[in-house]
Amino acid sequence: MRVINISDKVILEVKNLVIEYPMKEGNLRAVDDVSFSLKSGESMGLVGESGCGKTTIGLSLMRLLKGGEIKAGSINFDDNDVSILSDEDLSKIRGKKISMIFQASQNALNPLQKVASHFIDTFKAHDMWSNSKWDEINKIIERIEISKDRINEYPHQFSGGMQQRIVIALSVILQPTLLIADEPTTALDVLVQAKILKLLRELKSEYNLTMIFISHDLGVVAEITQRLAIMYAGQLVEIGTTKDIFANPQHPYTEALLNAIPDVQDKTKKKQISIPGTPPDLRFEIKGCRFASRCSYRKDICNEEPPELLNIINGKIGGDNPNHKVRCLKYNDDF
Amino acid sequence: MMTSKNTENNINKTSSNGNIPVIEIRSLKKYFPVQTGALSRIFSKDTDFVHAVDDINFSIDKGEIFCLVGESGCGKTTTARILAGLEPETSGEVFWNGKQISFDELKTTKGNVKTQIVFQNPYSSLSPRLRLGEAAQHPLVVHDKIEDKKTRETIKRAYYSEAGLVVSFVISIILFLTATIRKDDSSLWFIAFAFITLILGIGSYIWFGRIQKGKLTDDIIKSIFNLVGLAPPDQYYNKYPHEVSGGERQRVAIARSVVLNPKLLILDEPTSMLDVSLRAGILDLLLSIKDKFDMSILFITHDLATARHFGDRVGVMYAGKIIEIGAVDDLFNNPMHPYTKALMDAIPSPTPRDVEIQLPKGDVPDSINPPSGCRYYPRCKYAQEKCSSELPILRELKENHFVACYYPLTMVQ
Amino acid sequence: MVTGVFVKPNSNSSIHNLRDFFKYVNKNKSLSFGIFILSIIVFMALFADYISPYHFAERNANCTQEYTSSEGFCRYSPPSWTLDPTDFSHIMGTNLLGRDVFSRVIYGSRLALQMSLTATVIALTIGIPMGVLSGYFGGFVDRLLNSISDAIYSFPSLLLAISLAIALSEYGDLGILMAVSVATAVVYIPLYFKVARSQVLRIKTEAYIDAGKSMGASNITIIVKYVIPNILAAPLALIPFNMTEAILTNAGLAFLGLSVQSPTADWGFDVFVNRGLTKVRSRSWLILFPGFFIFLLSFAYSLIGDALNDKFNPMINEGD
Repeated sequence: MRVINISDKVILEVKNLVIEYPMKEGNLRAVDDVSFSLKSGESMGLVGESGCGKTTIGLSLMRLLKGGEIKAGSINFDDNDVSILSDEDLSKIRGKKISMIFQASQNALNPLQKVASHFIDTFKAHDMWSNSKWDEINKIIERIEISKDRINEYPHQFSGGMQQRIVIALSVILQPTLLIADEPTTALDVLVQAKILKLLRELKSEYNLTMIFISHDLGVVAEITQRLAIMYAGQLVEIGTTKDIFANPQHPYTEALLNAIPDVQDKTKKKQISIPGTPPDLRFEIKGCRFASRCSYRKDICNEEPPELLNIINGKIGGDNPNHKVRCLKYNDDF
Repeated sequence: MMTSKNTENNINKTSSNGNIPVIEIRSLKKYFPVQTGALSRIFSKDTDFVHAVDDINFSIDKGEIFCLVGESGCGKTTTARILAGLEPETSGEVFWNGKQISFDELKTTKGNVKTQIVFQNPYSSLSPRLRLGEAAQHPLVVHDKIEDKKTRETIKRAYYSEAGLVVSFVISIILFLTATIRKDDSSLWFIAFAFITLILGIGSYIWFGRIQKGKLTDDIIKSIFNLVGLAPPDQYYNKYPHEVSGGERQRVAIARSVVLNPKLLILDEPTSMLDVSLRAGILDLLLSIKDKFDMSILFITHDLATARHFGDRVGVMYAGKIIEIGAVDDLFNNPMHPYTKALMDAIPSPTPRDVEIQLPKGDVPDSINPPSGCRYYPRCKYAQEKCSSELPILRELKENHFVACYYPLTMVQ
Repeated sequence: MVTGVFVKPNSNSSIHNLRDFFKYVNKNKSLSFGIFILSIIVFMALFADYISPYHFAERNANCTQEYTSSEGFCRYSPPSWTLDPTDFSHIMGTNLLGRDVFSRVIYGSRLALQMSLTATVIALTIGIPMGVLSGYFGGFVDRLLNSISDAIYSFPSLLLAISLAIALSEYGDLGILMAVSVATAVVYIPLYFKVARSQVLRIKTEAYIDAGKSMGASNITIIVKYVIPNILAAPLALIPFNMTEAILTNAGLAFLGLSVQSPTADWGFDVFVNRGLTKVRSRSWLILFPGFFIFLLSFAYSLIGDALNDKFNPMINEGD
């Protein structure tokens, strides 16, 4: 059994976040009114199709948006509002308190620099370098199962999986409070992926990291998170504990996603069902539910009235329990 | 290495029933020479080879979906490319409907269509400058199979107008030059002629090569577009690839491959670049097309779960070798090779589990100097001395379930 | 090849058709300015007969007494409006033989455009096919064409221009045209070659080339249908630079006294034939106006070239 230490201290609170990309035809609202909070030590998965805004949220937590603007809402991290922080204060947080692993982030390694100097540079960037840090570097290099002797080799001398592990080590060596992993295993083989997931899980408990894990793969997320936020077309459509959501998906989109993934352990060969249609164009205003056009439970009202993210308990809307929320009209009494 | 007699015995059994398989591959090898610097090329006589595909045997029955699974670099894509005629083999034999042919004959030529391939990345497999209809139609043009007379005429005219554009360009340049030599009044005429030629060339290109071709629709392509779920076809016919989604692009690529009616369709990870929500749709489409066109399918994938749900039989590849072949249910319910088991365990499961999985130690072996004996023994927790010295061959341990392992899992347990 | 799952298509794919291109022109100020200047010059060349007040070889005799030669022609008459603000008979003055500088500037645009066009077409039609073949076939063909391109590149261009201009002097204007074109082509064939080749190497690994092969298409079909349409943008973005080079080479030859024969109107000739005059400072109109138009045309080309290059040449567009 995995031991998970979650304290009650809320470390990150995102409130009513709206992010838009200015475009010729009008603003593309990539993230629309997203709120969630993370307790210290918790790990949350952010899941959705490409273009649903999950990476945009990840980037906005470090204010690394390229071209996008935070139009409304706040990102409270450690008593600071990241969305209005000055660049100077931001650079103190970036990389040190919040760090991020990107998809195929092996490319983040400078091919002309030895592995060791990547670590040294990371320390120096935050004025934390001293010779005593060598121990820390050696420790973490061993930790990611790379021999200490290889620390003076160049990135290309390592395999893809090893490079990804080095990047992970680089991102946790300053002992950040929050780690954002954006599809860190997407381009990797299953065995390498399993290894990386295992490493992330272990590092998380060793360094007491709080983690946001962005992925399109529900299987991967199930391995590593306690909570899940399902995104669709810029909105959160369901949020709850991983176990709950997998056992009891409430939103039609979550249900459809779960039905679309084949499971290798599944002996019954349950038929996989794809979700017809495509996500809506976010440049234009959408009336009603965004998933309506692809939803199998659709009724006329879905195209009229936008649903809200509401608490749900035992298949009934309402209650004070904020652990499971869903955005669907299906649970209205008059549906 | 296995003896030739052994090979013979094995292969005859790799087909799952008594039928003659559509294609049968025997001891296929593909070694790529390693690119080295000029200096080492001068000073060393031996070239190193990457053992991409190292002596594999399998067969695909009529109407069967055979999956080749494995990690990247295991040689599955190379196998696919050899069967599609895109890559020459190093050695090996191939039997088509029971008759021995050369690998060259697998290459598609006019009047000889055996295999067609669908590539992994739909963003790169369609030329950004070709309209979807034209892209799907091009195989028919290449093979001279356009039956509709009007369509043929339009294509021909568009082709001539493109050539005409170049010719008019050249002629007008020559006329301009002539005009500069002559200093009398006639030079004005030459310039005028040059302009007329140029305008005629551009005009005919715009009319025939662009506008008329833009209106082009072909009934065959229309029906195929309908079949692959691009309906209504008129909406897609004259679109460019960047105007449609990845899933739609992949459907066009599939349409392009089946339009020549191949007997064996090779799918190289056709869904791995697509959103999860679209994958099942593409696989359903492939199934329906397979029945409609009476094809067999070679399905290359790294995703065991997809293989289990889509395939009839599976071959697991590791470091250039096939290490286990069997019917999907048999193989996945009861994996006998330790590597297959490890792969299955490593797949993140949508049902959260509590037990920590055991991963094989180390990395994929060096493909230039693969380990002696079993390729997997350095990582295998059941490995014994024999594994490091002798190469295990595929043995039929259960009916139609072949494993290349001395200590297969059912026996260990 | 394993890449990310949700890769964006082609980086420089934002321009797909003519409409996108016009949108881009509209957005890009320097590009539209360059096109504006160029279209003025092209207009001048096309309608020279209608807009120029005199023929370029016509010797005028309608000047004030002070600037009339013994034979009765205008001689070094300054721009007429400097003498009398209402007089626009020779707005750019006249030269030694009484020819109107303004008319010569207008007619000179013809030769300038012809030269840049010819030089470009020659370099283009040799360089791009060479690059495509070299990149597509690789191996021996690649090595052979590469060495040919390197050999061409090693010619000193201006020296070649000079010797060609002398050797072809008996052909008059055409000789100069050929000398300029060949000398420019020598520099630009290898450039087109290299850009086209690198582009082909870039797209050669794209699956649509393999798709073409797997459908049984011949190499020629693949090159015409799949390779060339996808690589053409980058080498074509070199055209404006090639044209500038031709204009400047022509001016350089004129500087050395190797130029078209009088009375042909040519900007380079007009600048440099008057350069040695002792009183050129007080007769600045003689070199100012033709020189300005040399600058203007190459400036327009450069503006267009830079803008196109930024957009289409992935070699300098990597970081986008």
